[in-house]
Amino acid sequence: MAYRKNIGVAFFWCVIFMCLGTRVTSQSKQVTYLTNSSLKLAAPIIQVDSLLFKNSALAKVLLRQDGAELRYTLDGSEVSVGSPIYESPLELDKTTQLRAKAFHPDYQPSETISLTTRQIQKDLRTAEIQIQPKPSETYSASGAKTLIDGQKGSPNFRQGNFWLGFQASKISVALNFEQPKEIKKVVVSVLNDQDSWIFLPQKLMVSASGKTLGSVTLDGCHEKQTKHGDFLEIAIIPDAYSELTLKIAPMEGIPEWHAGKGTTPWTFIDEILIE
Amino acid sequence: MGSTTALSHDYFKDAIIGHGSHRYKIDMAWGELNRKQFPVKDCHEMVQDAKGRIILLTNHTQNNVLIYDKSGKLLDAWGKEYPGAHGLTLHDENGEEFLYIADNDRHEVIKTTLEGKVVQIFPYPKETGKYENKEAYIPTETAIASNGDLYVSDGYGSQYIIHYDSQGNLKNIFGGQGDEPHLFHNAHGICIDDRDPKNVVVLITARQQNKLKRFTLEGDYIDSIDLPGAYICRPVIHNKHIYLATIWSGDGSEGTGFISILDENNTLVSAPGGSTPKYENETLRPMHQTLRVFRHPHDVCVDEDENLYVAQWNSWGTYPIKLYRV
Repeated sequence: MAYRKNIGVAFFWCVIFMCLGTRVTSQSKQVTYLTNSSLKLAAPIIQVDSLLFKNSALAKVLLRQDGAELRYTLDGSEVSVGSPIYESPLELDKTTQLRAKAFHPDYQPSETISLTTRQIQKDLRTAEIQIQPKPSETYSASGAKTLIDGQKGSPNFRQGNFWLGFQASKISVALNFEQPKEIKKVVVSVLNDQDSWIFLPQKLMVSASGKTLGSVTLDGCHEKQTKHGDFLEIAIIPDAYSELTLKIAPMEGIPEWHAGKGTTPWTFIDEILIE
Repeated sequence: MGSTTALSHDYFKDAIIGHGSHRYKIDMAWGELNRKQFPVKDCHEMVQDAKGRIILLTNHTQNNVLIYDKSGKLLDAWGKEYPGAHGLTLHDENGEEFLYIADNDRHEVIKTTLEGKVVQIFPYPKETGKYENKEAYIPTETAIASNGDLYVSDGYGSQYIIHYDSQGNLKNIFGGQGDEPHLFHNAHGICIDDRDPKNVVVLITARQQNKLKRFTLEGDYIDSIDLPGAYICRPVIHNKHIYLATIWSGDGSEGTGFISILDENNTLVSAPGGSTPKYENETLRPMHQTLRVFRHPHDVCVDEDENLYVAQWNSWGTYPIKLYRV
């Protein structure tokens, strides 16, 4: 009996090993191809001839994917399948938030891309401007006047004479106008390029004669964000002002998740506008 | 107006990417492994050996080298001493194959057997007189000519190309950082272009400039191939074509990239994941990503069936993707 039992056990293990053996040699992975339905379009590209303009700006939207349809809105609303189809360049003659999104019969729609082009409402070139502290020597462009020259830089901050870069815990900009100006909003054009240790400021405050007129706090400045330029708007008590002071406070230190954690972030500004 | 955006019959079909003669189906899960057992950080480069195995180099020091079969089954894993594992080149020397690993952190190139035994180390090229210390030398790639000469591109360092003989003696140094045609911004990848046996040249990517530059074997600049919008990593020659993983595209935004394929005339003919290539007055229209398949492709390996294996940088530790040519 014992003998027969052993044979039975041996046979059992043989079968197990054969099965395992077969499994190992045929272990090539099953191929599952990605289907159209799980493929997503990339967001379209928006190209404008000028982000700041006096009369008008020309905006192009493109995504060179066969069968893709580009749709857009100009009022800041979400782009849907019912939004207008982009066919030719758009002429924008006032401050506009252009949003665009790509659709395709086979693929998932893209994320929405958004870009604001801004009309210069008041020419500040004759104003007096003083900045404390001075920008870093490497990123000082044409000095303080750079911020009111009506010229905007691209997110490639090393290109051209547009961006002033600061590594300071507080930046103060004093503007004196030849004649009092009716002002209800101050707009600061800034850069976010976290790979280059450039972050959006945390707080901006506008004052005149020592009186605070308005301020804005950016809660999202600590968060990871892709490289982009941004217009930060500070609504102020509407009145006629002959001088304004803008105080910019960067975050105290670069957040924990970043390689530069704890150090003073860079702040980059290329233009200040009033409306 | 809305009818074209309704779901098509093709919605549930296998996706096919690329253009013209070079179109592919996608297996995103090809290289997936048990993340705890065989982790990866950046999947930097891949080569295929004579046995048909696909060899991946990652900068994860639990297993710098992962060796797969073509179906994606793991066959071998080794290497814990390459924290800056970046460039991987395979070279057949009289029937025996060797790997050349360009290590960014170690500032040197290491030659090993396919089993991981170190054969030779090429330290920072002090003898060129161009380097004050090893930190100025951050090699990204190697290429080996048929006579055994070794070319190293210092793509994250001082942008020189260092040319050694097969014994490791310095023969030449060329390139360097700058805007002139023969200089580089990010001389990231290098290969020997022997498609025309009578005119063998060196191809070097100037990644930040979106250019592929051609040099003689002696280091004289010939010309550049412009690929606007394509941040090309390393050229890979297969039959008559050049394949280049393109790590960023368009304006260089995060999450972009595609694969670039050039024909025998060095014309971009297919861009899987990218926009349709089109030349206007012999100039390539700027390229951009159109489908979100890839996230920063860093290298492409081409097998004998002309299927592609794509290794990606900074893509949340994802494993290589396989593209099947259709």
